[in-house]
Amino acid sequence: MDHDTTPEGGWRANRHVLYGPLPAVELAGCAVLLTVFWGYYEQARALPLPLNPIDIGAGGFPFILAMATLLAIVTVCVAALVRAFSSVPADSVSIRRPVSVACAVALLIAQATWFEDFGALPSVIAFAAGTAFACGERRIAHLLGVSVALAAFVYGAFILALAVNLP
Amino acid sequence: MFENLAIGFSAFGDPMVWLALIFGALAGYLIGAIPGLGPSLGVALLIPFTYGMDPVVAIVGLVALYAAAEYGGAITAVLINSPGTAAAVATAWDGYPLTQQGRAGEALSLSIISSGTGIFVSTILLVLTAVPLSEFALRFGPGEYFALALVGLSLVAGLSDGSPLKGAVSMGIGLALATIGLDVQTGVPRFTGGDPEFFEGLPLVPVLLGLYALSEVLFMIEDGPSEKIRNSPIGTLLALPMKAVLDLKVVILRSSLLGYIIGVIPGAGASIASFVSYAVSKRLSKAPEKFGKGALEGVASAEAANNSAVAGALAPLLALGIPGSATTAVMIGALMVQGIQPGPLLFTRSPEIPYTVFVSLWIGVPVMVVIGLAGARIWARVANLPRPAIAAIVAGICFVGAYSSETTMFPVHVMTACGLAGYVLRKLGFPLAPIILALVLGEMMETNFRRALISAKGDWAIFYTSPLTMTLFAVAILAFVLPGLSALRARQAKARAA
Repeated sequence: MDHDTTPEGGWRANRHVLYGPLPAVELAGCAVLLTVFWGYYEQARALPLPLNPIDIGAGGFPFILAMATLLAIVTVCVAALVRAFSSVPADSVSIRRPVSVACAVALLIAQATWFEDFGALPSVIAFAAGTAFACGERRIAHLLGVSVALAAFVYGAFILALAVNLP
Repeated sequence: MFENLAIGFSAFGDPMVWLALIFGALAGYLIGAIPGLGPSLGVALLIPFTYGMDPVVAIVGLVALYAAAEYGGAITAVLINSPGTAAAVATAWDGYPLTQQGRAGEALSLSIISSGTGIFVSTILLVLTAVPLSEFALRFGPGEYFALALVGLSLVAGLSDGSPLKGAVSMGIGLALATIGLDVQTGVPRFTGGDPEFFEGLPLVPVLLGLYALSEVLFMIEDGPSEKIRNSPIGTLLALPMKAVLDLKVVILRSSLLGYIIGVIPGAGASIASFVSYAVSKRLSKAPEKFGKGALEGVASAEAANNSAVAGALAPLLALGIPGSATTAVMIGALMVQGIQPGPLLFTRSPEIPYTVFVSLWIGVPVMVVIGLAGARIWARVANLPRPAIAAIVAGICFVGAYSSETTMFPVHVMTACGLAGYVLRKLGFPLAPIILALVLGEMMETNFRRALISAKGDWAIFYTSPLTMTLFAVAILAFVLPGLSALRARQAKARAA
């Protein structure tokens, strides 16, 4: 798992690590999940009722699912609250190299946005180099080598062998 | 049965099937040897390469990769104390001490032979049990099928890393994702936001690539560039310890049986199989004090068990259509891409598929043993591949693979969203395996749930009058309650210690 137990708990943020107590982060995550599943529940309720009275209709199963999942999320919240106020040291959650992770996320989103416009092979070359750089590779030969080799593999496997129509 | 097995053997008359077996085994070793990349990720990454293939060729390649990835994890565990997969952790406990004693070749040969024997024996068990299981499942009504799917999901969610509660939330997320699209019975669009691209539901392969592979890329970026690992000399690599193997035949056979049984249980999987088998072998050993210090028994029992679990996990997948592990959930996605629906009817409608799988596991044994032993030095070096290169390759294949699934940008967007969501969920300790399983089983569960109610004229008693359904529901509840109680006890013990 990605959790460590630290007696001191608390928050820490610098360029090497983002660090916080797991229960607090869990509560934030659960708040998002509660919002999402509340929306899901509302939409499930709004689905048309069945024409056949012995069927539960399009919304029946999602309605039951939303109720059960909301209950499970609330229970996770309660468990997080109990742990937050317990005398036992709480687990912590950390993100190492947060700047690199943020850059990688931005790269992934950029690639998803412009994959078709750039074309598959130029996009693979550019973003593979970017991903390797975000992961800490600083040798130019390695950055170029990996990108070009990957593009060659994609060309050989997908375009030539599998005849996939890539942009 | 023998007639169908002959059909399975006849598939190997096609050179493409051999090519798929060898390529799958090579890719599996590669994936297995790299710490952090497991069989699930490997199978997910291979799916895009199977789009245009014949289903038999594709499934042979995927099964070979799955089995070889379990083998591959042991090589780096023995040589550099860096288990490539979670299931090889127990192998490292005795394998690496053997390497330190200059007996790497012996440990490696024994681990590969035990793995091969494990697969061979467990495939016999698979053939003997899968067919009766599928015949038994043909008697299931929709209520029983719904309950069975719920049991599979609950066991995986309850036994996942993290708390069973988080497993339950993951299961809810997966089932909710499965309801996106047109309702199969009424044609009403659900949770699509009015976007026609969602009408057919979420495309499975991009979701798999995102959750398993792309999220792993972000974890690799967190880890940064890897440090060079110093390889130990392998020494007398191909000096097969035949006497040692014969001395350990009981251990290997017992571990194979145990591994198969544990593999069949949804959620248990190869790592639990190897730990349980290691513990049993230690308890029954005449020299338990040698365990952890280089006992050949330890290596043999862990490896035979974790590879037997591969065949075990295939039993519920092929016979019931219920994947019992993350890797088999990914595998069911690959089968669906090929238009194959696993389940009891598979054995009557397309017997060539399950029987080719059985035969490929047998034929794959010598192929994998040869590849494993001959390439041991290479697989050990694979663990030294720079992490940035691996991250770039995995991300690149994810994007191209997702695009290739429909040759539109929609799956690319789905894959990216799932990758980011998967990273956040893993950080928060929500397991991903129940999401995949629920996504795969969701439609079947809902359809059977509604069919059961309609067949009972809307009477909910159908879910609590059949003894089989009741038993299955009880198992589903226990799957959450027992790990929950155990987690609670562990926490109380921690509180007392503090």
